[in-house]
Amino acid sequence: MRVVGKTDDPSIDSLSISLASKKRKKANKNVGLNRTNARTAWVFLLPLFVVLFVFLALPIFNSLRLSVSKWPGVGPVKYVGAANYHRLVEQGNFFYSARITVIFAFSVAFLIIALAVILAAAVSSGIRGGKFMKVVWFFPGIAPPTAVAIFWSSSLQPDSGIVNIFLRNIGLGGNHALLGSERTALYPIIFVAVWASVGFAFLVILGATESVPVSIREAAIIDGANVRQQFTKITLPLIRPVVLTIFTLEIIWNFNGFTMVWAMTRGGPGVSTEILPIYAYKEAFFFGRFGTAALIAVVAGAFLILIGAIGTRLSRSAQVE
Amino acid sequence: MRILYKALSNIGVWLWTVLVFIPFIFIMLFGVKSTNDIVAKPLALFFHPAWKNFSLAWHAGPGSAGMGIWFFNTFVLVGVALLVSLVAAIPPAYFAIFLPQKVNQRVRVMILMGTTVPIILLVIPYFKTFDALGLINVPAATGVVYGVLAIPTTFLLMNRFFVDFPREVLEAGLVDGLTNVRIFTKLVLPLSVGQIVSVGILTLIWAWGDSQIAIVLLNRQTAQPISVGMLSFVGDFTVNLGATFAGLTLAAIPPIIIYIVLSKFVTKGIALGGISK
Repeated sequence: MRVVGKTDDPSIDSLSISLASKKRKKANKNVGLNRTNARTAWVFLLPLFVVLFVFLALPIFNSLRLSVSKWPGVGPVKYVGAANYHRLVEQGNFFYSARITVIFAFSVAFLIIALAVILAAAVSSGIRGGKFMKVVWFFPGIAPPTAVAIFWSSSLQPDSGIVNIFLRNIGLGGNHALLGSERTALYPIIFVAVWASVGFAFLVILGATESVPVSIREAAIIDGANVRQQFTKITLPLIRPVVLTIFTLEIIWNFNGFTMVWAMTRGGPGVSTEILPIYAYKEAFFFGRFGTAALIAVVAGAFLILIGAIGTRLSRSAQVE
Repeated sequence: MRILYKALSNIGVWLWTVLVFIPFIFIMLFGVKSTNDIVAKPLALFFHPAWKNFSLAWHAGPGSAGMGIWFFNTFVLVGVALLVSLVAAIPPAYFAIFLPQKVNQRVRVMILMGTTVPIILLVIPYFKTFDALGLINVPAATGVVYGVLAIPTTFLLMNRFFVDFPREVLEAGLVDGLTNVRIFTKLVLPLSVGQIVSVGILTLIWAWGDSQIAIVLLNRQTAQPISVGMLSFVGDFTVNLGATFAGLTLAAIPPIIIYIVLSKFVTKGIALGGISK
């Protein structure tokens, strides 16, 4: 079987559709094969669309409706108009929560991409042990985020956690309670989120790097470019659409990064790490204010859709160049 | 200069490799140490192995339900999710390649929109509907949700694979008098196993690890998968560290072993565009 993915660009596909259209034209010649099968296609596609509508579109309408309603978790839904909005504004937490969510998502995404690009550059320049590293670096992405988060938060316990034991042994003191302080709690979570996700972004970026035609790189070598120049001047500009796409997706995923934060701090101490998904979850399932929770979700969702649209636009225009 | 650059990048990647690898060593090491040993001499390599950590984690654990039940629930949830996403997405992904090119393109764009819906928008309505239908705390029903949410990605990746499928094979089947459905089941599917495994693994990793949907739809401990059940470990560190780490070992090591065995498929699946999770 052919190895797919090497020949055509592996990752643009997710946000901007790019199909190998040449192959399709040849395909459509065979009308006998196509006509009956096209009918079969609709037999499968129509139910699929119904399912996706029920599971994806209807819930969004439902969220919109709940965001202007009061619903304590049981009984009828009562329309309350802008009351949820007023509550959010008056509580004051919302803006803090929105701000740290954005800070968290962007800094995690940025660090992931920066590290992934550096690591991909190192491996593609043919470092020794590259094959082994390629496998190992994805370990943190395979293990369940809950397990990873629990490991790190226990390691960060003052005195007994291994991170603190390590720090004590190199003379930096062993009683740092990073997760226990409102001022510092977000940093270890950012670290763990980055630690867990670099492997994935690395594999995507490495895949794109390897799909850069050898001829282009050879031309650069003839022109006297060294290894680093080859990467910064040739490879990096060519894989920019992929990098932008994965950057956008990492923002979106970490904006939704419920598991990591919940497992490490539950949003605390206080509300210091209460990102929007946790805020919404608590509003709904701890306080029974499903309307307010839905409103938080709607605002967050609208923001993410906007980010997604900008990301798609950017990676598409980078692709055309 | 060149040598310095090379040395630096070598040191850098090895540091990262150690940072990525060491935690899993500690997870396994602490999993077989007694809580006293973990606290008193965490780095010691000679100690009495505390195998009872595992039975403790498996049966009762620091939470109350235990890894055994959570494992079972995870298998049900992930199994249903895989079944739903593959069965629902692969046949249409194949037959859609016979649509006029522009139509297939439009179908892809519509399905692509499905990959961009933020989960945060879906969770509360899912809870409301599941509650009304009495499906809260049914792992298989939650598995259906994960399966459906994985359909768009599965469809897009499989569709792209089928578009590139050699037409000669299909025509040969037609000449041999096979029906169109037979061509799909007897010729195309067996030749697509590698791709299906790659795509399936992406769904598996996601459904195995996610907690955002499961925590809402499965709120009773005995109905929860590993990813949610283990959250009750948090705050229990001082009580039974050994069992906690035995639990972490059980949760983290099996997927890593599966990954090492199938890493070729995983890497390919991701290079293919796994980024449309």
